[in-house]
Amino acid sequence: MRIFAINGSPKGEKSSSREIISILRTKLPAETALSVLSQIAQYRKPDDSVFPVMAESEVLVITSPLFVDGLPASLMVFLERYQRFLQSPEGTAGRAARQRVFAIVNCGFYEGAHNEFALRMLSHWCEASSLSWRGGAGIGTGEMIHGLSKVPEQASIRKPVIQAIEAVAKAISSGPEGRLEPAIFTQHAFPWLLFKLAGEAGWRSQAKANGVRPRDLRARPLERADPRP
Amino acid sequence: MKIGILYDSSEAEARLLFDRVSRESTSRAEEVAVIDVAEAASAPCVCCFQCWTKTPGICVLKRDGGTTLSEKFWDARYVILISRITWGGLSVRVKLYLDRLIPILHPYFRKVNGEMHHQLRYDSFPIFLAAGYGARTKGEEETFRAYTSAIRDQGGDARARGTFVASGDRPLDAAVAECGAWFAEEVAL
Repeated sequence: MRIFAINGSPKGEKSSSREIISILRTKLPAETALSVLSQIAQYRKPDDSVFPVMAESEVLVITSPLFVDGLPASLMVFLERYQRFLQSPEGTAGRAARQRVFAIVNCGFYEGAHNEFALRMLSHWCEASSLSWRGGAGIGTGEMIHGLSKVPEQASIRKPVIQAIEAVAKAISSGPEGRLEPAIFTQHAFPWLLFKLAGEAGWRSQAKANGVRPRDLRARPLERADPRP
Repeated sequence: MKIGILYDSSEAEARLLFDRVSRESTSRAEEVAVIDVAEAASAPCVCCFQCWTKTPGICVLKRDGGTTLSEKFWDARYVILISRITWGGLSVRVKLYLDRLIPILHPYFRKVNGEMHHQLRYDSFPIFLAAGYGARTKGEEETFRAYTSAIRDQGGDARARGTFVASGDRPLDAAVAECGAWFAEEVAL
């Protein structure tokens, strides 16, 4: 089976969405041919050369972060271009069956359920592009996916997320009938309050690395006549 | 009261909805701020979070159309997003702008209606209303309603009718009049 995975995060290689593809790879049968496109944010130089290869894969996997409750606009730009390709004479030629599409969307909030609308948008994109939507998973506590990549997968903190990715892999490997609907919504096994505190400590340490004091995180520059930093 | 309107003047439906909403706004608000996404491009947000951790409250990308979203709308009581419904979401051009919203949020978290959201940077946060048109299916319309309601949740506003959908099965002029009446009611709340 040929699978094409696209990483919808503008952060590319360093993103949780990319890490999800790496985990997914280990859950698929060894003979699976998986191609990965790590960077789709091509604002200045759109590159459509990948579309013929993408379209030939039986399965398309989309991983993405959540941006303001929906799909990142940079991913939408890419999906719109792929849709146009699929509707062009070149895109229709030689394709035997409707490509099956799975997705895993993650967010920086705690609850995986925030990702529901992004998954629904991908299902509508499939309808509009004559692709076959097969469902997927929405994952909360997304920052931890990358952060815990060195922790053994069996660790209980990782379990719900690893199991969701395994469920997607299983649906993909089930062949033409495989699907994961309704989607799974989950997050790491970690208390809400601790996640909030750890996340906020993370912002403070990033600020410190940038020479910004914690109290300046609350700056309100637009209340000033000249808001420039 | 200040009202913000964001629309795409390259689309006929958006121009009609904008004219109507704009008329309703000028008679009700002291200030009306308008963004026409067809006038200037917005580069996509690159998720660097430097508007939170390096220059708090200010986007570090080169100044462009997207920069004006937070500048024009941060102190608006209402912002209405007029958009073609694309896969149940906002159009690509409108979403390019909306993704640049995060400088007016604060990185820290809070609980709103039982779910995690960001804290707000300023004392007020706009109530995001939405008027969509051009959905391909009823399913897209439903997703648009639910999704734009989730955008409203960020500010903690739980109104039920904050989204208007101009359905494709009705004449556009009727939908425009209906949208005007809906909008007048929303901003009176």
